[in-house]
Amino acid sequence: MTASATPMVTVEQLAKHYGSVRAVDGISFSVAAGEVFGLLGHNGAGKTTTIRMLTGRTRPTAGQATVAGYDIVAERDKIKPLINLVFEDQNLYERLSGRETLHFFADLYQAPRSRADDLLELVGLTEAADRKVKTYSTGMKQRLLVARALINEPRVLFLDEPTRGLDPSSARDLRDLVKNLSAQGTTIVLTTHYMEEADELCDRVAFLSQGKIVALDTPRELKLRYGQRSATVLLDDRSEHTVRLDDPADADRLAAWMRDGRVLTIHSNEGTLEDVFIALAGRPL
Amino acid sequence: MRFNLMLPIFRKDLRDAIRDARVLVAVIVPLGLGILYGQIFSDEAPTFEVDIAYHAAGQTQLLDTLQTAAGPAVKLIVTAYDDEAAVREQVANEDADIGLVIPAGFDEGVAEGSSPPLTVIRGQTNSDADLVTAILDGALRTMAGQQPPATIQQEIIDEPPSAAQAIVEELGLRRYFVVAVAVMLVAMIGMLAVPVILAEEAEKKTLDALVMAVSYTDVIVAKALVGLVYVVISVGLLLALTGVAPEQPALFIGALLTLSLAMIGFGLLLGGVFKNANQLNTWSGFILLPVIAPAFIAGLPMPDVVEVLLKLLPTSQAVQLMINGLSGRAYFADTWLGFVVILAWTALAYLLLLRTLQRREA
Repeated sequence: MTASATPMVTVEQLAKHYGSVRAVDGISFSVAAGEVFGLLGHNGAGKTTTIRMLTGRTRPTAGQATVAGYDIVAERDKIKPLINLVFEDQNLYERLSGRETLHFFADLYQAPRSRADDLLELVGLTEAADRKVKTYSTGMKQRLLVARALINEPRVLFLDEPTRGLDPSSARDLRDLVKNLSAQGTTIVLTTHYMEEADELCDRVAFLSQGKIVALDTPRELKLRYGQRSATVLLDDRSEHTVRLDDPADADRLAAWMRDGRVLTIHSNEGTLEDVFIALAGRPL
Repeated sequence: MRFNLMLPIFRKDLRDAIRDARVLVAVIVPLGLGILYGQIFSDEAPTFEVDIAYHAAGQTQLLDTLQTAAGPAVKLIVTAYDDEAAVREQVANEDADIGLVIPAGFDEGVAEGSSPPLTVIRGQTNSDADLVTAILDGALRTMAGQQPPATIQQEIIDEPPSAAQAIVEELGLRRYFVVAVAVMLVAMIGMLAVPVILAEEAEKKTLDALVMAVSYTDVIVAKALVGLVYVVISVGLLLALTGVAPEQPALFIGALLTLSLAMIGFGLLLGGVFKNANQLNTWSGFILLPVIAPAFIAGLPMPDVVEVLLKLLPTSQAVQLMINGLSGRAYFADTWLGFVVILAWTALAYLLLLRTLQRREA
């Protein structure tokens, strides 16, 4: 974790209602500078709406939020140059080449065009830079989306399901990129359906359900709080046993097996974020 | 609204949009139609043509006298043949409307009053032959030096020719249709090409990426500018390719630009209504027909109700202003009314657009 104590994103009682539907229902959290913050939840839990509000594309119904110290409603124009977003959809201009795409957005953000070439190299698209985007694979398009989102060197980068549809290798590359950006001090807010990804990348995660935050902490704390404290023991007779680590009787059983030299392996059953999510939401993602 | 942020969008659309077949069609089809009309129609007033085959055994002034008697509205195309049989063959094959066989010393015989024979060869039913036969008698009397039996005094009643007549006779169909096609170009670009560009941005969600950097208003103004530049380039190209130049450029360009603003305004509204560019393309025929049709019937006699309706439409007013501007004559009165009507539509379009933008920005 490279986060500093200075909050880069603050959210207080933020809400968005569409008629009687409460898409986001009074959520509060803050994200420190350099932190990777995850928003997790089912479809319709309010993750994307939250990002839409924080990126100034939807006006909140109630509550306040600041990004990079600016109010998301009153100072929306001041926020725009400081943030960017990797969209869930691959919303690229198919008739432009990769290089034209980045040059266009460089002009739009008034960034030097030379940055486009650096980013093409960073995401491994230098060789395909002059090909039309419509000829790119899904993975290449996703990498171009990331490059586009980095064109203005954002202080806060939002990623909406960044690895959805990617092959494992491309997803791994993207996660490494996120880690590097975080290490360089970029604040990252991401939504994902992949619990392992959130576990690997996020300093803290917030679980959203029906527009509300139902849990917010570091992945480790959440797993400890909601996961089982148990281990699976394999004995010399090839039998497997689950022992609860907080049960004195199980502790005595385990001690006896070890004294008798019967234990072949012990695997801790540390909870996963998936378990946490099921515990909170009652169903898996 | 920041021009420096709109400029990249404007440049990108100017280059990228024309790669879209739907946008290309919106520009190319009217342009091609204009060039076609330019080739088909002439600036001359339409004339009535009659083919005459003749054989004259000597010198004669009959055919020249006949053309004078026929007047400018009738063009006699005369072809001489070596013998009577060839003339008969031309008429029989319907290569000529009428045939004349003129004997030697015909003009002298007519002048002396010796009634020389004149053979007229014609088909059973041929109105062109009827016309020539009818004027033949007057021509022969002139050659004979006879005074007409009565002096015809023509009195022109005080009824000015209709705008349509005046346009056809003086402006010429070619220039009329070039103006109509220019209005069609404006409508196609404003209400098809521009909304397709916007709807495609919404459909592909690239609009979301744009508004991360700029405001929705910046995007809309950039698209409007693209439409305006497309109009200026394509109408300029149309005029250059058809060789038509306005006599009053200020009036012509003023009408063209105000109409463009109105059409682009409504086009941008349409782009917001149809979220899908293909859907917009499908419905465009229904939308464009009532917009474009008035451009092609300007000046034609219409029932009063239709006349009033046409006066309220921006395209019919624009075509009238542009015809005045092209010809340098006031074929259509009330120039100010034309501009008022177009500007009222423009104001309406942009008020609605502003409301939409405010809702969208909220």
